[in-house]
Amino acid sequence: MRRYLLLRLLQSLLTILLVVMVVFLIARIAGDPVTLLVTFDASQSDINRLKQELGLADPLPQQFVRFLTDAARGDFGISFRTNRPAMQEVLSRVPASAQLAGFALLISLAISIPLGVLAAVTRGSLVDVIARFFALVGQAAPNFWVGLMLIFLFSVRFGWFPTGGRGGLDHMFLPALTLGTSASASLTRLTRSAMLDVINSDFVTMARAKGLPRRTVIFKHALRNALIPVVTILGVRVGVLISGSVIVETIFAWPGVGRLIIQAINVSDFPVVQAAITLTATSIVLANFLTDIVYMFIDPRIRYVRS
Amino acid sequence: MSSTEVLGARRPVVLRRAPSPWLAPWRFVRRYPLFPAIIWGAVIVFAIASPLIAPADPFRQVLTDRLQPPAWSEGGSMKHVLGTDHLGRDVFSRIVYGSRVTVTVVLLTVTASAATGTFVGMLAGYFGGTVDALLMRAVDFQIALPALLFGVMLSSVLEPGLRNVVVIIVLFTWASFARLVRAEVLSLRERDYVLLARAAGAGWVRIFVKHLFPGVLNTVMVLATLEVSVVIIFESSLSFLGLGIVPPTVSWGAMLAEGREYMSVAWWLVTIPGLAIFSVALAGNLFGDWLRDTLDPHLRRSA
Repeated sequence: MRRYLLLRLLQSLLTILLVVMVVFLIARIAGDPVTLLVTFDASQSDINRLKQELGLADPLPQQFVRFLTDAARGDFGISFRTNRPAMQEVLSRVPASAQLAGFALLISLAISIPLGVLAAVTRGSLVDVIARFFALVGQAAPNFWVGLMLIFLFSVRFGWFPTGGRGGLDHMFLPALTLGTSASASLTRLTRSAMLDVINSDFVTMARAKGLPRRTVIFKHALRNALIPVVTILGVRVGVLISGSVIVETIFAWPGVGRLIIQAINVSDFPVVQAAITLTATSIVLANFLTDIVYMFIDPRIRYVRS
Repeated sequence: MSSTEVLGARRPVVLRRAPSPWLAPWRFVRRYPLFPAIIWGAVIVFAIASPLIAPADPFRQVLTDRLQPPAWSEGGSMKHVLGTDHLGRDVFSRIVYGSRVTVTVVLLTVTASAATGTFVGMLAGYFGGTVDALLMRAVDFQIALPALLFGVMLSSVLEPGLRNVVVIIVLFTWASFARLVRAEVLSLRERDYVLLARAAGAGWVRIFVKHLFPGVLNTVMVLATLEVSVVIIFESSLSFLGLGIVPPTVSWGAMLAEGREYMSVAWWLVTIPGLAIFSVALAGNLFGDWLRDTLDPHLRRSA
């Protein structure tokens, strides 16, 4: 078990390293950072001198090592736009993003688990059909469209919720619902099929045969086991959810990291883009790692098989 | 549900209710891919015959006709069935022309990523060992990367446009094909007919083409169909953010982004392109589900 944990930790660290490398390489595709720093009438010798000073004349691997060591200390350079350290810009946006993503996750769990269970238990009923329909529709609806339609209906038409910005719970409801849509859809589908599998297993039949009340069987025996695959997928969904925040935060003018990424891209503020993408991708890798650990604890079989 | 039912009996002692007649249309939709066929048929016809179908030039701006609502809505006319946008361009014509981007992107990306992924998966599964280990690490890494996030970053540094959108989407979709194909090949390569071919001296290229490929074709086709919606949403998200297909090329994602500014006065500018993206993606998923149940029933649970 300890070996498995260590192996997973190493794997995650390696992934993070590769993430930083990809960010570095993409930034290099963007072209010479020097051209963004100098005025258009700078002479070639000025450019070369600046390159020397900034270490951009060094071989690429050497530049990468420096980028990596700086990144490890959270140093991604200075934002072109605000002249503050890029990482500081990003970190100031993290609470808003975390709040939105957390709330979105809560909403999607609150929708998908009860709906999935109910659908499985009443298989073939109207509720089941609605759940399956919701799963289909939710996975096919792009979140920018869902968000705009919700704004149109509930903010513009009915005026129930504000159209954007950060504030109280009412500000958070529509963006969180939007962000959670596709997660709710796929988790509903998964909960339903996992429940159906478990319901058809011998120990559930046994529990029923013993005369345990239906409620106990569903919640104590069936649901607890059906949640195992749900937890596994949760890690993946959290990743999708966090990257989806780029779009949802933009639509709802939510002052989080996702919106910062788009804003920084629009003004070619590369240090901020790099810092934000690295931080977000790292948090997704860590979320996956945590999911695996949780998975190990709730499913004892994993502990024995893998170690 | 009645209380006499035995929850979870393997052979249903369960007295299942007679299927509700109200749900008959739903069952029909589940059984035959009618909806996907109609939607995809229409989109493909739109894309091929855009100039014949579109009633107006999608780029022609008639400022006196700006923000006309759709025909069925108050103030609309049959002249512009789906209304006009903020520059007086005909929305229906733009939807028709926009389908070209959708169809092109889907065809190119799905074919390219299915081909790449299948080849990588075959290599990994057939040769095993170091080849397998290396290729599968690459696959794991690609799957661990948040696609939209890196797609956004990558497209911000590349020239916008069709070619780069296709490249970006392929970069982030090939790995799921590789993973699935590898798993299939692992069992296929032990089959007698593959072993016999090897014993007879067939090279790996021949074995790949003649013996393994037909075996994985069904799986690849099912996954390819299910990837259609992923690709469409990916492309339209990039275009929506202004990082994918950019004007003057007409794309549904970019139409939505433009229409967003006018949402409070012109609901159709956001609703209609969104509905187009949504129904094409939904049709892809429904068709994929149907194909999976038809071709490859043992996949039913995994996806």
